[in-house]
Amino acid sequence: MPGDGWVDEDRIGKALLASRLRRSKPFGHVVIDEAVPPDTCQRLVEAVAEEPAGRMVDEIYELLATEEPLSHPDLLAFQQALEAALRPGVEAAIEATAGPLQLRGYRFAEGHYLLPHADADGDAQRQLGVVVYLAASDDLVGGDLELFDTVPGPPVDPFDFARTMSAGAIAARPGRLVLLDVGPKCLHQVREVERGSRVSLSGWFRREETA
Amino acid sequence: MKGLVDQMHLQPHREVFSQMSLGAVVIQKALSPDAVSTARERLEQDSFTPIFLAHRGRYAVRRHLDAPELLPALRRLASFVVDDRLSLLDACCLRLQRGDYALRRDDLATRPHVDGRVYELTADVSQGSSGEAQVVYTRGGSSFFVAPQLSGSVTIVERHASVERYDRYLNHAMRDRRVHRIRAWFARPNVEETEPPPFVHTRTQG
Repeated sequence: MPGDGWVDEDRIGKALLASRLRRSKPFGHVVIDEAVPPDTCQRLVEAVAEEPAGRMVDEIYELLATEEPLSHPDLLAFQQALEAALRPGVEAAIEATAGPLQLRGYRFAEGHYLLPHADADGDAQRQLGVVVYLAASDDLVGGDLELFDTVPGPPVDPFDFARTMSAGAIAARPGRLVLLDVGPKCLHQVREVERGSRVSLSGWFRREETA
Repeated sequence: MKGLVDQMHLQPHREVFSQMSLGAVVIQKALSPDAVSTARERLEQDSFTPIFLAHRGRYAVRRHLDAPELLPALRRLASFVVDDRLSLLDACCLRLQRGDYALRRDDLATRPHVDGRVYELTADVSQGSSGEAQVVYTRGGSSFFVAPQLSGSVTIVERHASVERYDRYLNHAMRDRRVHRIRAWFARPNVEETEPPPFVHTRTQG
């Protein structure tokens, strides 16, 4: 429900226009601070805590995640409002019709991580990544979003690289919105949380599957 | 070689291995503490090469390992467990510490690519054990075997083309501990070895 104060639409819209998402380095990304007001962040943290969730462990991650799709009314309303606020800028940036935004709640506690990966690997429907930071404990150490620059490897595999270099990190600051391009070169990770915890909503604009 | 578990203790693992559709066993205490520390000290006498490719892994490695006493002993152990005569294809030693990992993509790039059945052996010669740093084998994207990080253990897994492996990320709970893994790959020799004929006449010159 746009206009209900879930997100700062004006701030998001202007930032998107100025962002030149596709031309940023090391790959397309935009960071918009104070995109979500503090009281909204707090309300969403409480909603995430009420969602069914569980610990997820796999090759590249260990973390706590809510079940898919979101079910809490506040989370659904926020997702809808954010999608509406982002859609014009996103579609201009990706030069295509954006599918629906599908978010999920995440809590990274001590020892949790998400190793380097490209969101395009294994899911061709993803168009643009979206991360909204809701809370970070005062004692948080780690949990930054790290981006990598890459030097291409053999042409047979677009997801393989000859070299990878850290190109900086984005701190998990409450209210901060991050948009990430999706593609083989869009390598990023969530650094291990060594102390404290942080809560976020993240997901993708996903093109709708054709029958 | 001293310090390696005897065949009597390996027999149950051989039986388990033979009954599995895809053989995979962990042999705890396969190496004595003395054998573990001796192996580790020898490995540390030469330098390791640091590897960092974010999408594949971060670790230190000694490739094409040459351990003239240990590798033949591990080959005999593997041959007994899988009940086949095996030859060594290649071996390396991985050294991992906090923040390190090796993903399936790294496995794909570094494992020997040969036709036929390959057996992968991992000998843990770390100073200690932990509840972290497991070695996970997957098939069709799902894990089917997880080897814990146990010093002195030997893990043997039958590798088909569809089997992939990753070494789990070592988080900060590892503190300053290091994990040392000798990883060796074995296969049947291309030429079948046979017993010599019952009567062999050797002609010598002079």
